[in-house]
Amino acid sequence: MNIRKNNTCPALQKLLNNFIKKETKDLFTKKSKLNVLKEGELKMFLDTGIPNKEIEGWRHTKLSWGEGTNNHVGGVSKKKLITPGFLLTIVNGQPRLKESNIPNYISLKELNTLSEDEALNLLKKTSCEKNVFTKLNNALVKSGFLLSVENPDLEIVLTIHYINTIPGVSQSRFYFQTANNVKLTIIEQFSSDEMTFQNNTSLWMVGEHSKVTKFRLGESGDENPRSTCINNQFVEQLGSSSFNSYSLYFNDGDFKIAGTIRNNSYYTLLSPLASCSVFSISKLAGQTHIDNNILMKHLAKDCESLQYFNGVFDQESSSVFNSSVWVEKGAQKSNTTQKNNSILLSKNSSFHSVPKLEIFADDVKCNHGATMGQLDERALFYFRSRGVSEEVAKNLILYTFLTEPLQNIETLGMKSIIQNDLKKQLNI
Amino acid sequence: MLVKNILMLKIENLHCEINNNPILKGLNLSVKPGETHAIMGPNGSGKSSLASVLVGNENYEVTKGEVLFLKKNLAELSIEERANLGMFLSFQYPVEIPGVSVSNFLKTAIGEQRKFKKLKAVKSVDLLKKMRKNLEMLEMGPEFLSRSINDGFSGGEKKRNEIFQMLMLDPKLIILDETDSGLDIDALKIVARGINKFRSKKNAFIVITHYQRLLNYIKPDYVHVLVDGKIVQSGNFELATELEKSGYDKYI
Repeated sequence: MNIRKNNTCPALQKLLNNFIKKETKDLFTKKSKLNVLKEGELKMFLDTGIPNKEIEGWRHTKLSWGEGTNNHVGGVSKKKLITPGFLLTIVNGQPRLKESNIPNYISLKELNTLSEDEALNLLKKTSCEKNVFTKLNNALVKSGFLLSVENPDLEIVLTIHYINTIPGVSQSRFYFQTANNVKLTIIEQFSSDEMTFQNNTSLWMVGEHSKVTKFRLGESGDENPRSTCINNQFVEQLGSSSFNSYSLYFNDGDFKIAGTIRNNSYYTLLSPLASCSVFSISKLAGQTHIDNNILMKHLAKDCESLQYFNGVFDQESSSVFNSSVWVEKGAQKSNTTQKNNSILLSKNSSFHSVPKLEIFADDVKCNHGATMGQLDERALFYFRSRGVSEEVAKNLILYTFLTEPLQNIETLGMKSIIQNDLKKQLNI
Repeated sequence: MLVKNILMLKIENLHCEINNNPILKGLNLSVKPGETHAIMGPNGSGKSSLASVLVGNENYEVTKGEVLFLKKNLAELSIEERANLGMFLSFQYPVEIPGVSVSNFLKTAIGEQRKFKKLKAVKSVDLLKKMRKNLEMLEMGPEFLSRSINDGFSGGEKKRNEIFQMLMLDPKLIILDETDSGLDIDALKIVARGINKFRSKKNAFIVITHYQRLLNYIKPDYVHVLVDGKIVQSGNFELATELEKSGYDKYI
């Protein structure tokens, strides 16, 4: 039982082969429906192998293990944990209730306590043909939880602190489910001491008229420049629901990250009047690489989606915006926007933008636009001609550019927390 | 007495080029505090290039000659140092900077200039008061402060914004590059009023323009005709009136 060889990093091949060998021991002895599905998923992963740069969707991201410069001195700089509301602490994918503070209308089930039917149904929602890492997670994941929110009368703010202490490969899976009319804000923060290869899956099921806002402050691999994180995120929205996501990727400041990050995000607007907004701001340096792969599916009429990604790339950092919007036949009056802008500060930084549209309805409004370039020399000159130094002018222009996607944040205090973090980074 | 004799600006035999094309070909000009000099001339004579060279636009290369600004060699001063010493260009085409508000832009500029002069920072309240007063003089509402600088501004608003910045930054040598273009007669009067109120014995103006129109409101002490990179004639205000009648044909 070995992974097909695809001319990928031998160290990674070995790492994943060992992981699979260890995790499959005694796993599939019981022939249940769930195990049959899992076995099938594993076979698919083994037969396909680790994707390399020749595979569509992986052109700009090289997966490896133990390569690249490692100027990481070990240990994690103490971060400020923001906990404006309730707190949930997750260690290696498992909830730590003693170190948490959650109200009784949030129910939390660990993955291994789900009924077989429940587990099977959820697993079916998190498989993607084109993404073998969803299959590896489906097959072998052991830790995780299902978080359900019932109370429609209160606005809930929950900070989730994900702590990882496992070196090497780890997988977790997190399900979030809201009833109808729920208002939920999740603030995700991360700590990890180890060099890791993480392949995590999450599924967000947003009920009718519910509003979920998510802030991802950092990444599960934390500050280790040799860590790799693969995030397979599925979002399913019912009618009149809204999902707003803000992701920050900074190489500096309170939420600092490094390494290679691959986001595979699948958004599905299932019923009319759902709206989905995805915002991302990156300020990268070193060899940090962030690859965003997005599929935004409009399956019902009168839905809206917005993707707004702004990034500033210095040194040898790089990023990808590979996004498809799919508008199903019958999804009339869909309104979609893909917007991504990047500023390259060094000759060795790079950015790839691939916005795609597949439209099968005839009464829709779909916009996409990408800009890429250096700092606007004319704007810099204008500042300097008024006595502002180049450095100060540059930082002010970058600050303005990076905070553009944050204008509509409603969660109390979050906008200024992010703005202040950026101001500190840019000496403003 | 000594102060009077100090030149604000002394340009000697200035030559410059852009992309190896010679633009200024031996320009001489002296400006003393309290004076207003108009530079007139046909299209392409080098009027705006002179403004660009003075503020330090790096697209221009000075190939010969010397410029002294408050006795300092201009070639040795960076763009921001020139501004901090008191040079100000009202741009013909001000740049749009989406996201940076007029007030934030000015706060930053005033803060940096005061830092350069080793002065204490101004209190926000006092700054805002001064901003409001100057806006009023230019007949602009306070909402102007929160708009992104030049972004979506009409031609007239852009020019008023330049003059607003001039009033706020209190410079010594002001170069007005075609400040009248894009202004209707009412706006022109308002802008000219702001400029005239600011004129004093301590500062000096170089007014670059095609037409006499602006000069009717901002009366110059000297008028210079710039043709093909050189000043070919100098005179007083009457020269501008003459040019308005006869045009530049006789110089070409």
